[in-house]
Amino acid sequence: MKRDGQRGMISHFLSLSCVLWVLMLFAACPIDAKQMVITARKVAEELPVEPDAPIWAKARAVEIPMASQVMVRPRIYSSSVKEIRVKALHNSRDIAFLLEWKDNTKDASIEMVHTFSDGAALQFPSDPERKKPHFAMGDEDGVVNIWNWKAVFEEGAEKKTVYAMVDDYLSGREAGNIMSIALKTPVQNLIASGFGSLTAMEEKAQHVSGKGKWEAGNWKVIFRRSMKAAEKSEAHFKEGGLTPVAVAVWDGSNGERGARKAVSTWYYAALEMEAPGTVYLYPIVAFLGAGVLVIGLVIYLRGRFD
Amino acid sequence: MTKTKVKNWQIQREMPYPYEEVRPKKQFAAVFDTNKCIACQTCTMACKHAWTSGQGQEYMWWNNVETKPYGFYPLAWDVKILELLGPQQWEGRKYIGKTIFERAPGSEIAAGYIPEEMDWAHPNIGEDEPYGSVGKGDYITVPHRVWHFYLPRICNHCTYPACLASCPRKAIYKREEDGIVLIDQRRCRGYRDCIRACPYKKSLFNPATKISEKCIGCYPLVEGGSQTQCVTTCIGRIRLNGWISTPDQAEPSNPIDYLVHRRKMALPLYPQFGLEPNIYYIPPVHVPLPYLKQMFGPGVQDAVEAYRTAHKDPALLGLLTLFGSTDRWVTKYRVGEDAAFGYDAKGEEIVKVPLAEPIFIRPFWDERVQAFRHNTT
Repeated sequence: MKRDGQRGMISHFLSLSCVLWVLMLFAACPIDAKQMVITARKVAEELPVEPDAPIWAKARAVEIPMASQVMVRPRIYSSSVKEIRVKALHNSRDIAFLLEWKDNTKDASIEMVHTFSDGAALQFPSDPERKKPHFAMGDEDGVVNIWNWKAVFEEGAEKKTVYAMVDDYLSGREAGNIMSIALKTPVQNLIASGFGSLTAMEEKAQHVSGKGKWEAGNWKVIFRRSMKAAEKSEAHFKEGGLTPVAVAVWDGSNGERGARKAVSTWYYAALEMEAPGTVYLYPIVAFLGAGVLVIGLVIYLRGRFD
Repeated sequence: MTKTKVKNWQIQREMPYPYEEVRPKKQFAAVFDTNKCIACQTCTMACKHAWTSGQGQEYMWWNNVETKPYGFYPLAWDVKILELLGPQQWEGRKYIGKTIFERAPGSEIAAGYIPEEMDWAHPNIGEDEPYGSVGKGDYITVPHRVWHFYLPRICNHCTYPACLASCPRKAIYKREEDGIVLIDQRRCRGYRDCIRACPYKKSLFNPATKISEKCIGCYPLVEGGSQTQCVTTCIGRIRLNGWISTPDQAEPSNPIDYLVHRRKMALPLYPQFGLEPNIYYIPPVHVPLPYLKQMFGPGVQDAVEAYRTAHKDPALLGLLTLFGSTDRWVTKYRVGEDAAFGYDAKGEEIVKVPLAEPIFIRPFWDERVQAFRHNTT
């Protein structure tokens, strides 16, 4: 009797595992992977220059929650932007990201001492082989590449004033500071390895293009770069590959600049590629194989205990 | 609050600061005699012409002279900081109130604020505006019942600069060789944390370069052994540059050490802020002491007394004659029987000033032209 009871228990256990295994196959998705991955849709045509180009309808947006930067001083406890929508496209040569967020005020001028510019940034690890660096500004072991768009650098953002100057010397410009040089793009290409370490790349490496457009309380900002990294410390993109990406955003009228910003954790940009037929075959084979194994095991054990 | 403690001799205690105490080999300093300042603004214009005549610098005055108590550049800068600081109590010569680093909210390094655009728009607001009004039958007493005085100001090249402490990018540095505080024009990204934190409001934002700038202590002149533009152009001869030591290292032959440490006649501006500022002021002797104590600390009574009796002291009087007597940087000085001497870093004499101007009396009869000398008009 005792042996029979044991057999029954094992049998029940095995059946239960069988059911659980099947259930797991269908239900075991603790997080929605789609929400962590920004799929860069592959398109044939040239990538858009405008943030509201119709082609962006082809890309699926991922909504990223944003949190106030409270890790280092100066901190901010109430950053304005709570959520940002990110889309991506690529055409095997270039990659483009579109960031959209709500902001009731357009802050594109810093002509006054107490006004700050709206801004947004994308961050990627410089070295794709290493483990991901710290999600905000990288760390000592992991350099990050940051593309920083600022509304103040949009063409025509600041009115041109004619000055009655005594001299034409601008110390920031003479020092080669990219804040003071008129770049061709509103996006700065930077690297960092921890808070406070943000450093501009050489002027010739300022090749991330972009454009921002504010309309009816919404910013839409496009970032675009060649997929091939020109410099070693720049973000790497490979068709069919995953590149970690994090986002930051600044609301100028809330006094946000520098470390006073809203940040996200790491997400992934997945660059779509045309998949060969075998991609669909392998999961089916694996599913069937695993099923056969378990059922085989159940039959074998039943035989043994009977 | 930051855990590192540093020694601040001006408040006679330790205080928190984000970096360890590392003093420069030499510390840029100056003594300004407020009793002699007439607010002619020659220093202001000399600085303007030398350093801030470019685009984005129109509103910028690295050197300014404001009338106290109602003049400010930017508007209300010191009363705003004093309000942020709360009660400022001294126990003898020790400050027991809070410094701006101790008063900082958890999100910041220092208590502070960013002045608004219009706050900078009237650099000479309150000019000659006196405190109090003249009543019927009023007469002058010392201190004066109706008073104002002029406060010339530049960057204090502080030992513990709040601008440097609060810059999240470490774009501000204090030079090892002379203690001059500079903003790295290549590293600054215009976050304006220095403008927020500097209680003296001597960090300024340049909208044309989108980064910040400040008084550079005329470092190219200092490197060449000269005093700064604002010091050498002062027509009232109220200023003297020099190196300052800590009180324990004070050297009596060093003019700044002598005035600050030995005679305790020159005092820092708002020492309670906790920055150990390095421009020292001889306080105005006609101004009521409570106001002066708030501005220059508890040493003010002794300083006023020392100045009022300086005429009895040849050594002190001799040193005061060196103010404005040379463009060169005076490292040491000596007062002889009838003259004061200034020496450079090599010990070579660079200036000799008589303690009393020589008097020539011309006889009424002029032998050469065989005529009487008349005052003819």
